[in-house]
Amino acid sequence: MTSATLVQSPGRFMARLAVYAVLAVAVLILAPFFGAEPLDPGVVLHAVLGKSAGVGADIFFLHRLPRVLLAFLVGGSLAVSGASLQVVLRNPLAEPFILGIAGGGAVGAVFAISVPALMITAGPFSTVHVFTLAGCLACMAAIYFLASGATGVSMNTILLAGVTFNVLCGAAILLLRYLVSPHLLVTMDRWMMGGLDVVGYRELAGLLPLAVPGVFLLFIHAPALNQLAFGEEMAAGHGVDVAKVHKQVFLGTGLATAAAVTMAGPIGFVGLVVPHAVRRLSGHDQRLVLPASFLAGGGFLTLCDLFARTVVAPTEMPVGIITAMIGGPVFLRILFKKRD
Amino acid sequence: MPGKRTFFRRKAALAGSFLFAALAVLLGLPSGPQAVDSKLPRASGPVPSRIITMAPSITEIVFALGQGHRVAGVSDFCTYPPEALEKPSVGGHLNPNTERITVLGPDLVILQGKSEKTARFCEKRGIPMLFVDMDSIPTIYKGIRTIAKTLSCVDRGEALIRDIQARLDEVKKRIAGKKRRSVFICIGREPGGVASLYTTGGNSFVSQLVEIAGGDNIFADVNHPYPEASKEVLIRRAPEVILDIRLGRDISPEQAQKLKAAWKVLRGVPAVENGEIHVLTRDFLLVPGPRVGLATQRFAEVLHGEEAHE
Repeated sequence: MTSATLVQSPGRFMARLAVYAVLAVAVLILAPFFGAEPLDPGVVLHAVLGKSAGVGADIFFLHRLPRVLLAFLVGGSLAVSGASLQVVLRNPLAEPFILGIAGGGAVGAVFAISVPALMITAGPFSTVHVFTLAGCLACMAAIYFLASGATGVSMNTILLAGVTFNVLCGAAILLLRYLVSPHLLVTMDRWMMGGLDVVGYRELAGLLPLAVPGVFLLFIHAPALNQLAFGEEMAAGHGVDVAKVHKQVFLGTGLATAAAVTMAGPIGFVGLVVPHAVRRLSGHDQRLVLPASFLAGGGFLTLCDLFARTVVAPTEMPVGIITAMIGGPVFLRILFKKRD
Repeated sequence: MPGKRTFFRRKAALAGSFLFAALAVLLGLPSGPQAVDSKLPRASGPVPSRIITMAPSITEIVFALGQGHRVAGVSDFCTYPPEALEKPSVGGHLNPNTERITVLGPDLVILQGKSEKTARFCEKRGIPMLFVDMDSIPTIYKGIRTIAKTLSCVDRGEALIRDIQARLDEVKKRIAGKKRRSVFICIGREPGGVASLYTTGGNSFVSQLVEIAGGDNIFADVNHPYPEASKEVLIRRAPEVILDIRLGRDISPEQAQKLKAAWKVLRGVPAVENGEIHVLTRDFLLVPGPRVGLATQRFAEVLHGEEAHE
């Protein structure tokens, strides 16, 4: 890869981004109209015009729309986090959970589930949300602290630290599982599979203060990530404050991932695969890859959730299964397709 | 695309099965719509006197047959009758304590469902096994008969079945003429909200007990025993009653109020509007054993507003 392939004409750049945006908006508009129950679009129109609100309108506005928006936000956050970490850690296998953030969240969730008497609510958040968020933020703080060391810490060290966090969290989860009553194991396993089950907009609104700054922080570092892709020395030579970018990318991915994991559990695959797919399709310019990953990740998870809530109606299946089942073959196709 | 649809259904069933496999076997819930599969070790010979019972439903049956003195060990999850708690514990379905089993020297291990780990161990050691699979009222009767026959107490087995039938008949008589009520049975959800709602399909015994108790399970059309329910379908099917089953936990009245309050977000559902949400905690509600009659009585009390002895 030479720097020449990175530079795109502004027109082409905008055109490519526009394609992603149009597709994402189309998914966002269409997805709420499909679900386990048939819904007359006229009912929705009536409700928008304030004429009559019935069960149909409730299903659309209180159940499907918030769920679609949540899926988009979670998918987008995970994909853009994965895209950034793959560059910063210089590892194609990097994904949002590699630094142990989801592991910390999972410990929180499992703890909250294992103590049923614990019924804490904070604003829109339930006990599980509160503890998941605390776990995510604790792990994120640890990584940030590590990256802020006086002498520059190598990315391999950070990577290994993240893997260690994950192992520690796994052990803590196993210990909790070993101690609790068996009835609770099912709820724990279900949480681990990820889900976008939500009613109303309160939780969604509660997460925006985390997800928006997180994703924004990553977007503004896209030009620096372009330099970092060529190596830390090269980036430093071009005037990039490497240590600062590292820290802020960890902060951004930490916030965005914490928001996603708190609301949806550890949904796998999106953060790993979507950025790679976007790079295959649209090149390596991070200024395009990051926003395109957000749009593609959001659209992808929204579609996966659409499958999760319709194919086995009147029941549902965990969305994490769908992301892997659809994403796997699609990604393999992209991987092995000859590039023109 | 019927083929594709079936494929996804199977996948979903697989996922659901995976999730509930642990719970199902731990509690002695049925693992699938199979008939009793009894593989009797010997046709005749001495009655086994050092039995290990690997599920709560089995332990309850053996004790109900008056054969508790023959029990050498029980699984970690067998908490009833109280005498069972005095027996050595030999681990669970997923983590059987094979050393303990060896030390106890059983002459019969009774298993529910596919307990592969225990089964393989017993096979290697030449320990006789008896498999039962109880997932509906007929298969519970069949299971009782199989165990009674193995323990040479056929008459007691028939008496136990008559006792269960009598309880069920009494419930049927009591609710006769009363209006049937549509019910959403919730056997699991994410704490603090109404996410990941697990219910029971029509082929699970819980659904069958609720039907006898005068309730119509709104997800009875689902073939999978423990599926995750779609909330919009729940809203459309508008249950009059929600049974929020939370096993074996001491829940204070304030906590019960909080649990009920979580359902408020499903506005428009008759059960929510009329405050017909019942938090049920008794341990026998989900055990396919001798206490299914008791469970049915409890369901009937709740469904028809006769809140009595909990």
